[in-house]
Amino acid sequence: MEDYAVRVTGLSKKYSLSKNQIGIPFKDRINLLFNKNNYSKNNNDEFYALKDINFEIKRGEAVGIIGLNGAGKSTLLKILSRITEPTTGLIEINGTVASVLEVGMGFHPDLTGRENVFLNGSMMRIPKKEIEKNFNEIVDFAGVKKFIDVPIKHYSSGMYVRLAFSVVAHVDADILLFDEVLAVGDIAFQFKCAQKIKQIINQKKTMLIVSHNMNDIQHLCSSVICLDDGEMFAHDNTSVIHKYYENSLAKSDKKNNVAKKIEFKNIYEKEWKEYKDKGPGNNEFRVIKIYAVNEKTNNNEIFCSDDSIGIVVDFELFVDNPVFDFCIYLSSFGFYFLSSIYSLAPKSENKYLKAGIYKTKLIFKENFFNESIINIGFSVSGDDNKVIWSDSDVLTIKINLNERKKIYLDGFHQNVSPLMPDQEWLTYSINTEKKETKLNERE
Amino acid sequence: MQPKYNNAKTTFKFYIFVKKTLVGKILIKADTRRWKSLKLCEIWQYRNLLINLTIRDIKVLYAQTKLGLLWSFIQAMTAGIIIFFFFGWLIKIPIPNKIPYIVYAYPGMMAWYFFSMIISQAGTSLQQSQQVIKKVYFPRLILPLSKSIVGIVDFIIWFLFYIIILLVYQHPLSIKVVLLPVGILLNVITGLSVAIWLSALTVKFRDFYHIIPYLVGFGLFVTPVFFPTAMVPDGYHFLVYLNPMAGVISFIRWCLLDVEISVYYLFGIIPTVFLFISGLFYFRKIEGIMSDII
Repeated sequence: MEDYAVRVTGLSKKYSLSKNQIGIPFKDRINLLFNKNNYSKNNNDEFYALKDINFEIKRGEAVGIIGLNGAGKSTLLKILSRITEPTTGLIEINGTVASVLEVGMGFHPDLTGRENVFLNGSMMRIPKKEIEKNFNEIVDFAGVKKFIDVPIKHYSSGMYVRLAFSVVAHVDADILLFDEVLAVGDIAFQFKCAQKIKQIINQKKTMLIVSHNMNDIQHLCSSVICLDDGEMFAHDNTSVIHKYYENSLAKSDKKNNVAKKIEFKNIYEKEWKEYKDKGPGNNEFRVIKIYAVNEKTNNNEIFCSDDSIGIVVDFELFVDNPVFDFCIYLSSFGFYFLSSIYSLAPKSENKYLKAGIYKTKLIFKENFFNESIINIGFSVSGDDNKVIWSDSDVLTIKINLNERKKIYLDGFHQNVSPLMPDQEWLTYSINTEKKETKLNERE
Repeated sequence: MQPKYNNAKTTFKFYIFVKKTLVGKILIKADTRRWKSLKLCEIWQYRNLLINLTIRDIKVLYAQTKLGLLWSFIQAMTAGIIIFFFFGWLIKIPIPNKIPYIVYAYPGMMAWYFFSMIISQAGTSLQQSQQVIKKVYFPRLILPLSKSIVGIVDFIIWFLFYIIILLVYQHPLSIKVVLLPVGILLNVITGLSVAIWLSALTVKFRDFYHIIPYLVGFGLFVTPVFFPTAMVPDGYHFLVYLNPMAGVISFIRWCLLDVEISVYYLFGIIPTVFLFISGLFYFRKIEGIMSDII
């Protein structure tokens, strides 16, 4: 057998934008009868959901498909699972395919859990014997043993989804297609799912996963296919995810569409004018300004991963010895929460603080960040640790990777986490316990 | 070497089939052929699903009812009572061979009810399973097929009630009853020939959804269900012969009661066969884009 599992060549899918997709409208058909040459099909009615897609997936590879809404991800999976036919192109698939475009598809609410498992199985063309063999495992995995003979409409939504996923996870197909179905159920079940998926990957099965959860993609997939407006612009290892994000967000800015709300414009400074009334704080203290500064160059616009970066908060105290606390949150891409750093320091020393204007600085030491976009959140609390003011996205700074590290990491750079703290590897020879080598200094 | 591919904008002349070879390789190609192959063998591969869907439909039909399948029996009984009082007693339609009216008319009603079940259930089956069609691949023909098999269950219950009628009237059952399965098969094919067209057309043009009640309602009166063919004026017999259901009903009566049957009913098979085969092809044509337009 050939070594590829899926090979796609020149694949396109065209949709018609006309109202009900039934071709020439009736009115035009009548016109067509009388003057045959006058009807020309309006090209604006055509819309390519996929344009000239080419890729090849090796056997046993797990591939993520990412892209904004409407990029054509689901259409691609639909064509691969033969639900809809392509307009042009050729797809060669080696092996059997099981696709899950929706959890619980084909479940009927009036049937019991047991009956639905068998019905769902036969929809995916699993032989009855195989379901019987795996039945206990499926039910145990879903954790619905007690309710298996109850009509499924009485299930809680969690039980429903768990049972549905469980059937899918036990399909013995060579190629599995998942469309945003990984994150189902509660945390405990999600953990189980992730382990099951890893187990499936270890069995050398080929997998295509559509997900908006970049964590899933990074953990499970060895490469990604990036789609944008029906065109494929990358088929690469998962480290391209950052680039993809920057590209697609920049693009959505331009197009002025829905995604505009999450702008990744760098914001290096936030200042509260009329801070005495409106700045974060209470009548004892107010924050004037928060800004980021590059400690090495004193520049506050260009940040590099090997610079130490300071976050400075200016504030004014109106009374002596107020009780207050600041907190800086770090997140990346606006939603992946990384950590929170409390400034318990002002509280412990505030007996020395008289009324007046102060500046406090949080310093991130060199080589803490990876190449990434970091959102800095800020919150202020007063007495009783009650949060007075909070915003998870006050500053947005872009961290560049310094050139030296870039060259060093290129090639096997799989770490796409926003943080890359520089830690030391020390290697000792056990026999002598004296010779030390720092791996990091290997050039 | 990468195989040559054609750019989407330049060429549409691509062939079109999904083929499974011995090594388990699946080919999916853009298909613009006018006549697609019917892929009937694929339905055989999915027979398990057909069985399961049929069982599902039967179970779901009377789910959460106390009487369950007894409801089918009640329906059969109601039809019998209506036939007996309105057509046999009030209108007094004359029947050849001195057969009691209800004994003569009931098989016609039985076959017609089966037919109308198939076209109303199978004809709308795709519409009802939209969600599944959009998310799972299987030969779509399974949906109307399973609905017609569900109809057979009803037919059998009606037949049981007919036996009771025969016992009450002490009317003998013809030995030709062994040919009844052939009658059922003819009935299913006649129903499907209409239902397959309807289901495929309903996907594209919802108008046909509204035609189904007319077919069921008015068709009853142009088909010899309540009256013997002899009542039709002499010059118009050919119209009856062309009606496929007239042939099926006469055949079923012939099986059960051994009444005369005209050879001309064979002509009724021609439109049925034509409708059935063309329906299959039209269905295949729509199948590929079904999930996009439904």
